[in-house]
Amino acid sequence: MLKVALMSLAKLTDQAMDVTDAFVKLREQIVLCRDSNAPQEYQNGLNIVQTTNLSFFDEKQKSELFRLKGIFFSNLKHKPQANQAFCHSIQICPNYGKAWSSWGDYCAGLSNHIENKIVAAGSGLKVRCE
Amino acid sequence: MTIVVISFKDKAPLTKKSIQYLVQAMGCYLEAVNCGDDDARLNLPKCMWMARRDGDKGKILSETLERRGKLLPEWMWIPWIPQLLTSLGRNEYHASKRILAGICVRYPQALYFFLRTYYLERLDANQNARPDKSTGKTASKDSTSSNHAQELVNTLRKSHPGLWVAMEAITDELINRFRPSFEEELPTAINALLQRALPQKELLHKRSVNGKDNSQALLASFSKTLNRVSAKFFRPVASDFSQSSDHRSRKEKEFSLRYKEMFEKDFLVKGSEKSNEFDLDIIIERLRKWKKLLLPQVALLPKNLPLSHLSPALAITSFDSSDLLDSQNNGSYKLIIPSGASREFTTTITAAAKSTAAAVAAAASAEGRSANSSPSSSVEIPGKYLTTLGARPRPELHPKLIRFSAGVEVMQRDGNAVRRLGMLGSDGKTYHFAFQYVAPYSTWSGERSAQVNFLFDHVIRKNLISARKNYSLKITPLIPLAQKLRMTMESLDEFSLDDVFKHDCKQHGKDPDGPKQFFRKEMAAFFSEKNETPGDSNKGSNEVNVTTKQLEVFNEICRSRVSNDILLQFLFSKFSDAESLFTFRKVFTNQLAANCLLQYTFCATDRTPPKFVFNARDGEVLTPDFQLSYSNRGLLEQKKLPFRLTRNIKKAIGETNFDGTFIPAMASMAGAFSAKASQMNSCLCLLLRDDIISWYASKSSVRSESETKQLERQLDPRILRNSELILSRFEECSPSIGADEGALLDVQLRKLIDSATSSENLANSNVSFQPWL
Repeated sequence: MLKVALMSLAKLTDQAMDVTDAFVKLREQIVLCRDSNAPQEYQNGLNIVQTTNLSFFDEKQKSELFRLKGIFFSNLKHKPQANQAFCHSIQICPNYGKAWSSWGDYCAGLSNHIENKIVAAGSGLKVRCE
Repeated sequence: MTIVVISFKDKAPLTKKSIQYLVQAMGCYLEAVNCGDDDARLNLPKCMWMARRDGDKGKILSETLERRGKLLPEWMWIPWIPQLLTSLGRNEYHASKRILAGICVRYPQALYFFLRTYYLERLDANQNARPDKSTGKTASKDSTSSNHAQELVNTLRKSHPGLWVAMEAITDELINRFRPSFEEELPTAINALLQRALPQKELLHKRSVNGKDNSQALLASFSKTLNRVSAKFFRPVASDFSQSSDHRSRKEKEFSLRYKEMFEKDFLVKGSEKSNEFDLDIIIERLRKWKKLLLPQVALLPKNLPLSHLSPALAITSFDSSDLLDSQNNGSYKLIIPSGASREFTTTITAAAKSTAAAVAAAASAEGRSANSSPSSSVEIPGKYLTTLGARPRPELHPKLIRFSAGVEVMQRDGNAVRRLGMLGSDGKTYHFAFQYVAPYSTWSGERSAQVNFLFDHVIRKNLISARKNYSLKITPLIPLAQKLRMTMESLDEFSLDDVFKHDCKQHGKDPDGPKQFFRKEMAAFFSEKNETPGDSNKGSNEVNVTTKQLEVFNEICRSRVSNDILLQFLFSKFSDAESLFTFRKVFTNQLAANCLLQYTFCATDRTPPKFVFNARDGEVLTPDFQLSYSNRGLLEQKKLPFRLTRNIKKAIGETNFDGTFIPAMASMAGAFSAKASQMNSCLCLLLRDDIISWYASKSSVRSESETKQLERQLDPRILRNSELILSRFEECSPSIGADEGALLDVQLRKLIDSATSSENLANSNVSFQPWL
C-alpha cells in the first residue's frame, strides 16, 4: 500500500501547485515514509527532507519539516542530530505546538531507554548500548 | 555498537539522567499545551503521570509541573480534577494544590462538588484508618491530603462567599433529604448479598460435582459480611429515644427495634446456633425471606412525592439569574406574558427570555471581558463542565438554577428506590437528576467512566475516518455528593433493557422473574440429581453434562418463554413513521458499537439488563455503573462474554445494520483509538491508577497515606500491564491485514462477536445477566 500511495502522490504534478499544496504533497510523502516502520524508508524520508529547498515555505512549514527530520534521526538512532533538528524546529517557530510535543516524546523516549537499561542491569543482563 | 555491563555504582547517575530527560520532556509537553494545540492537551495527563517518578525524596518533576502548569489557563485542567484531587495525597501535592486553587477562583462550580466530597472522604478515612505500622502514628496526625483539601475549601469559601453559602445550603439539604432510609437501604444490601450468594451456590454445586469443596471459607466470608451489615443497620439503641428531636434518627431507632432481633437470629450474628447447621442454602433462603419481607415496604413508597413534604427548604428556594441581563439591557427589556398563563409557564418563559438575552449579551462581550473578572455568583445546573471538555467553558452561558420542580419521582430500579428531582434552568429546560446510593468505590468510578468516554469521544471525533462517519459518544455527568451518594443527570426518555422487558411482561401478564426462576430450578434439580449419584467421578464428563444442561435450559427459555423481538416491538411503539425508526436504529447501532468496544477493552463487569440503558429519543446508549473487572491479583480479567449482544439487541439493530454499520463502526473506532495508543497510554495509566487504588481500598481496611503510597508503588507494574492490555484489545479490534491471504480485515472482531453471541457462552453466563433477553 505504501508504494501505491507514493505513486499516487508522484502523479500529482508540481507545475500547477501553489506553495501550500506543494508542501502538503511533500509532507504526505514524508509521513508515509515515517509510518512505514522500515529503516530503509526512514532513510528515504530523511533524504527527501534534506534535499528539499526550504526557501519557499513559511516558518511553520519549515518548522514542521525540521520536526519530521528530528523524528527520522530519532528512529535511525542518531541522537545528537535528532536533538539538533527538534531544537532548530522550535527556534524557527517557537509557538508550533506539534514541534514541542515531538521533542517531548523524544526526551521521554530517551528516559525510557535509560530506565530499561537500569531494569536490565538490576536483573544482571548485559545491555547493548550505542 | 558496544556491549557494556551496568554495575550498581552506575545506577544513581543513570537515574538522575533519566529524571533530567523527563523534566525536559514535561517542559516541552506543557509548552505544547500553551501553544494552544487541541491534541497537545492530552499531554496534561502524561505530565501528571510522569510526576510519580519523583519518588519519595525528589521533587524536581513536581516543581516543573507546578512552575509551568500555573502558566496554563485553568480550564485546561478541569477534565482532570478527580486526578488532581487524589494527587493531594502524593509527593506532587504542591503542583496539584496550586492548579486546583486556580480553578477554585476562576471556575468554582466546576470544582465544588468534587472537592467537597473528597474532603469529607479524607476526613472519614483519617478517623477510621488503622495506625501506620512503620511510624506507629494514626493517619489523622500525619495526613496531608485532608489538610490540603481543607485549605482549598477555605480558598473557595473566601473567594466566593455568597456562592459557597448558597451551594452549601442546597447540598446539605440534598444529602440529608435524599438519602434513603434504612427500610430502603437494607433491601439493597440484602439484594447485593443475594446476587453474590447465588453464583457462589452454582459454583459450589459445580465444584462438589467435580470433587472440590471450599464451602467453609465461603461461609466465613458471608458471616463476616452479615456481621458488618448488622453492625451498620442495628446500632445500639438508647432507651430514651422518644426524647430525640431528629426525625431521621428516631426512625432509625424504631427500625432497629423492629428488625434487630430477628436479623441477628436469622443470620447467627451472635452465634445463637451451631455453625454446622448453617450453610449457604440456608443463608440464601433467609436472604430471600428478608427480601420478601422488606421489598413490599419499598414498593409501598408513593411514585411521586411533593418536594414541599420532602424538603420544604428546597421547595421555597428560588434564584434570579438577571445579573448579565441587567448590566447589558439597563432594564429596557420587557417581557409580555398572557394574563391567563400558569405560574410554571410564567417562570419558564421569563427565565428563558432572560437567558436568551444574557446569552446574546455574553456572546457579544465574551472576548472583551477582562481575564480577572469574577465568574457569576448564580448557582449553575451541575454537570455542565463535563460536557464541554474539549473547549473553554463559558460559565456565564451555562444555565443557572432557578428553582426545583415541585414533585420528586420515586423509581424502583433493581430493587432499589431511586429518587429523581428536576432542576429548572434559566434556559427554560428542566434537568433531571437521579440520586443514587452506591458503594464508596462506585462514587468516583462513575466519574472515571465519564473521563474514559471523554477520551474516547475526543479520539473518534479527531480521527479522519471516524469523524467522517459522525461517530461520537455521550458523556453522562455524574456528580459525587457525599461518600456514598451521587447525582446523575438523566433524560426522561432513557430506558433500560430491564424496563422494556418488565413493560412487556406486564402487557402479557407474565412474571419478569419467571425465566430466571425456571433456569435456577432446572439447574438445581440437575445438580441434586448429580449429587445423588456419587459413583460418576469423571470430572470432564461432568463439566460437559453441566454445559449441555445449561444450553438445554437456555434454549428452552428462548423457545417458549422469552421472545427475541421485545426490544424491537418497544421501538415500533415509540416511533410513528419508518423514517424516524430508520434514523434511530442507525444512531443506536453506532452507539452500541462504541459501547460494546468499551465493554470488551475495559473488561467491564456484567452488563445486566438494568445496566443496558438507551435513550429512546436520540438512540444514545449509556454506560451506567461501568466498573472494571479485576482478578484477585489486580489485573483486568478476561471474560467468556466480551460484551452484551444478546438476541433482543441484535434483532433491534437488524441484520443489515449489523453487517453494514455495527461491525465497520466498531472496527473504525478501535482503529482510531489504537492510532493514538502512545498518547492514550499515560491517560489510561492515570485513570487506572485511581481505579485500582479505590478497588483495593474497597476490599481491605482503610490505610494511612504512607501505606497508600507504598501500595501505589507496588501496583505500578499492574497499572502498566492493565493499560497495555486495554491498548492491545483496541489493536485487536482494529482492521488489520492478517497473515492469511484473502482473510477479512476485521476477522478478529468477527471472532469476538461470534463469542458474544454463541449460545454456549450465553448459556454458561450468570443468571442475573439474563442472556435470553
